[in-house]
Amino acid sequence: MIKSILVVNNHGKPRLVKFYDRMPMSQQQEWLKHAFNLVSKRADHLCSFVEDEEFFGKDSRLIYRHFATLYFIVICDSSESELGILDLIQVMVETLDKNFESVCELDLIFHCPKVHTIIDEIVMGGMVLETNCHEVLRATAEIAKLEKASETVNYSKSKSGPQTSKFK
Amino acid sequence: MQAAMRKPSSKEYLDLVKAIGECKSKTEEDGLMLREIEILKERFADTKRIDPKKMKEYLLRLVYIEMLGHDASFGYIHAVKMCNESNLVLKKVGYMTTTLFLDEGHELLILIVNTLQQDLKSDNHLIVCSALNAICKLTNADTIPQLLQSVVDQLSHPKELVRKKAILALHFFNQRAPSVVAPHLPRFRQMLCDKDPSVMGAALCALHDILALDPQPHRNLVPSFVNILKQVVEHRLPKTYDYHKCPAPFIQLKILKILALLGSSDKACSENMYAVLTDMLRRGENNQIGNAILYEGVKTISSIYPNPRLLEQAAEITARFMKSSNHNLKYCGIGALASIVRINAKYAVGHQMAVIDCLEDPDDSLRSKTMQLLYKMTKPGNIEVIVERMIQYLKAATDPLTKADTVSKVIELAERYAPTNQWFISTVNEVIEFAGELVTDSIAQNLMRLVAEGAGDEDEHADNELRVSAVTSYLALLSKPKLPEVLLRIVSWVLGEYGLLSPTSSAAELVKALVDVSKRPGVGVALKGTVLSAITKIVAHSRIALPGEALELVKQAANSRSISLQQHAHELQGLTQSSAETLAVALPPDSSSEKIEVDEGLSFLDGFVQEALANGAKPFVPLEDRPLVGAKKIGRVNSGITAEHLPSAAASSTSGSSMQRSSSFGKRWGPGSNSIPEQTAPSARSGLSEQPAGRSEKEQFAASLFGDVNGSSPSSVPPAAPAPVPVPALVPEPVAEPPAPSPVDLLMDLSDPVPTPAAPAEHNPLDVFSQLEGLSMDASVPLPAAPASQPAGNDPFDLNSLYTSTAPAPPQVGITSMAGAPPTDMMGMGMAPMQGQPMPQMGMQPQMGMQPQMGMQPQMGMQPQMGMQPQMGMQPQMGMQPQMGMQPQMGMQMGMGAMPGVGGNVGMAPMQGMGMPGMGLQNPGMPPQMMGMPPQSAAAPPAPKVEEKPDPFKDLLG
Repeated sequence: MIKSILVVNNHGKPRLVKFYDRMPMSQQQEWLKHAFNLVSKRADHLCSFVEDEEFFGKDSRLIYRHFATLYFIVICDSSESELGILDLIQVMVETLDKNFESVCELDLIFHCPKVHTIIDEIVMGGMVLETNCHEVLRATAEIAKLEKASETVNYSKSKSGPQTSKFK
Repeated sequence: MQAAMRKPSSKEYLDLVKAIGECKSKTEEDGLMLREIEILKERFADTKRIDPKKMKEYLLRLVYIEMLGHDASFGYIHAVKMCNESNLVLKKVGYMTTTLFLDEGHELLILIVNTLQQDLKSDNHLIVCSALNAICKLTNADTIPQLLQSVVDQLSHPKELVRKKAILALHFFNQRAPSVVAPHLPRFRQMLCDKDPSVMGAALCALHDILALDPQPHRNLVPSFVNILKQVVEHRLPKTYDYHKCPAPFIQLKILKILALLGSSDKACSENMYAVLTDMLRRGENNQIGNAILYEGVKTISSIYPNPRLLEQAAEITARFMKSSNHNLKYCGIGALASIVRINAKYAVGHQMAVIDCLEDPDDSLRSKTMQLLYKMTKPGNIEVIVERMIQYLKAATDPLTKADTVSKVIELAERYAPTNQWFISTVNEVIEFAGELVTDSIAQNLMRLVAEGAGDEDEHADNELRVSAVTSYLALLSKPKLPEVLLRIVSWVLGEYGLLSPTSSAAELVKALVDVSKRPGVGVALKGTVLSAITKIVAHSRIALPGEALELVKQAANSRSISLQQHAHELQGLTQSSAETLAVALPPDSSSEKIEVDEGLSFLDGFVQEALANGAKPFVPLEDRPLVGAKKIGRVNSGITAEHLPSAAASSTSGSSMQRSSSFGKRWGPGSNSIPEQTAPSARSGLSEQPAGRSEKEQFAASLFGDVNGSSPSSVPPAAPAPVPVPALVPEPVAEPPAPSPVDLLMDLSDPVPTPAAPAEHNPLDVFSQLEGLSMDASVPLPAAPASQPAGNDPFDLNSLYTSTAPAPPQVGITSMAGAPPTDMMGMGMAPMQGQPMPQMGMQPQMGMQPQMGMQPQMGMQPQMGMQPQMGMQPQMGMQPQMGMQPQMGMQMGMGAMPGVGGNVGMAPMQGMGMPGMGLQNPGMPPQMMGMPPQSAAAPPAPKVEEKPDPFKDLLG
């Protein structure tokens, strides 16, 4: 089971926080901090797995990928395949990418609800729900269609924003 | 952008989000969030005027607040309300925010159940989906029954999107409230056959978790899983399920996990899988996801019933992973290797060096994974290499958890596979030096035992060399400024016991080195005690005058608040003033490695038993016929002793013997491990070889306790004799009835010899064991006579006769003779010290004074068990043995406990039970703490009958 999905930027600021295990707010923040500490000190060429059973609980492991400015972190137990989770992260990023057309950190900040919707289509209650990128996009498109009805306010990505680098 | 632009967002909202994105520091971000919280609280003050669209924005702002670590609970209720909106967009935001804010334990959840129920029945499948998503976070055991049926209904929803969410929601229910969901469990299997692969994939996830709990009932699904896997592998799913050219990899991964669960230790199931697994491995793509499948395949192959061809393939894949430069693959390679090594170690052979290289990799995940593997790969042939690497790893490690883990692994491996004793000693020393704080007492104990006993074969010369090398290396070690206390304790003990073997250092130098040890910063009482007893031994053996520094130390110790230190000091003072003969008996050189033989039958008591029976004593009641409580307790005490006491033994016991004997550790290394079965050693039976009756019972007990130790011992005593029951005996009877008739006397006699030593033991560094040994060896002969011969009268009690004369009268023969007769130290140990003048000072005083404080409480605890003894009465000794056996170090104490009779002499303390009410208490106390000899009380059992005892004590006291 997946216990948590975290997206954190290079400075440790959370961009997406999802917990599937029940835990109080304060503990969630600790996990966030600890996970970032673990991954941020690892060089990019090292392996993508960190085991810290002491902190995350027995049988748990942290699997992450680092894109330009973001760390995608998944904390799960041994019922998930390590390499499989790496690809699950890849699926998430690909889906986000297709949805936002070259997704970047700012997309995650500005479109928080949308990102949650997408992630919810991929992982539900800690179980992998769908790994087919097209299926996910189809589902989110349906939802988007409904939202389209609402009036639109145009705003574009901040061009002067500090973190516009693409991470895919 | 496109997606984004549609959102009707106010400038305020956009500014906030932008500001969050641009925050440079945590402080700045915190300030922003606190401001935001104030604003929102203000807005929420009048919710009626808030437009729902506005509210949606507010809720999203709350999401940011909470994500960034601030408390947004003031707005939770609005999120819950939002779920009730009829507009889908708003409802979705409501559900999303609610799931983010609340969890299954929150009190607001109750408000949402109704909404969920309605939404599950909605015609709009998107609303149903939102509700199903929310269910996985917002229901608990209380609300599940109300939602269950609706969720189950959705399993047949026409939209696959709904079906797959419904199945995971049902799985969630099953995890929280299995009993409620149980009737619907077959649905999971049905959903496997869903025409949509996505739904099947979701069902696989759920089934995997269900299977993991109990695979048995699902083994009949193997053909289905195999069939699905086959179809997937053969690209029979729609192309859209391909991911990086790999057909539906996540489904493959899940099925492999499931097959691993189902096939483990089930040959028939496994055989079904071989074909598809072979095919899958053959088609494996060489990309990331392809490797993921191969890796999972290897794990599956190694957990199902082994198939040589598949294993070969798995080994090839593993080799490829190991050779990869990609760290992720290396990591998986190590994992894969660990799983196939379990099946057959030969697969590791080719990778040994590659594995060891991984230990030096900069990647600490890889290193720790490798450590786990190495541990599994270690064999006698590679132990030296592997342990060397592990120690290097240990030196480099900074993380305390990693260190602790490594230490325990190194020690375990060293104990199991050490090629030589020298190697073992140096390895353990090294470990202790680098991670002393993580080394347990039992490890130290084991090391000391090894030094004392040597290889266990009869090559005394080799043993001596080992000791000399240990002494030399320890003397060198002392020059290091910082050493862990455990190591210092070992050093002190070894120097005390064998320091004089050193070719380079004189006794005076040794004493000085030891005194220096005691002056190191942070030295505790236990270590000081060890140092003092080491000095005692050196001084006693070398007959040098105590150097000034040492005198200082002794003086300090004598005035110490710690009673055990006082005792050590008094012993030292007493012994240094005593005669050479006394010393030889009290502190025989190398007493620690003497072997103790145990007379499990306590045959020497036979006569006594008979007499007691003749005098109307109750016959022994076998353990199983006794009231349960007590019996159980006793049993536990016995068996528990060894393990528990050992660790601390080193610290507390002065005598060398104590440590060695504890073979609870079972010698696991080295070829010539000592022949004494685990835990056997200490048994007190030493001399009493002749016990006929109850043998089988005893043997059983002994076997369970020590491993089949007994040889054959003839037993002269009638079976009826209570003696046979050793266990009960252990428990002393504190309560002891005051004056018992003749039978007591007998006991006393017998026991006297033994007990005596005991008392002294505490104070003196006597070797209990050696005493025991003596008993066994010498005693065996005279014993039979002794018990019988001894009159019920007080004669035996005459302390003087006992002590003064090396070889006392017949009655005591057993004991005395031992002391005197055996030229060796053995016998003497216990008794000797006590007899002469030395005794009074050494043993008596300290004990009298000290004991009360030390012992009382502990004993009390024990005593409950004692209760039993009354019946046992006769078999005091029996009890003793077990104890003795267990607690090597305790040895001394044991002695005490054991020798109830002896009590008269030296041992008074222990014996109190019998004669001296007041004393009795104290004694008991002592043993527990010091010796860890709860059983001592056992000694007491005789008490009831022991009326005479009082006299002896008095004598002594007087």
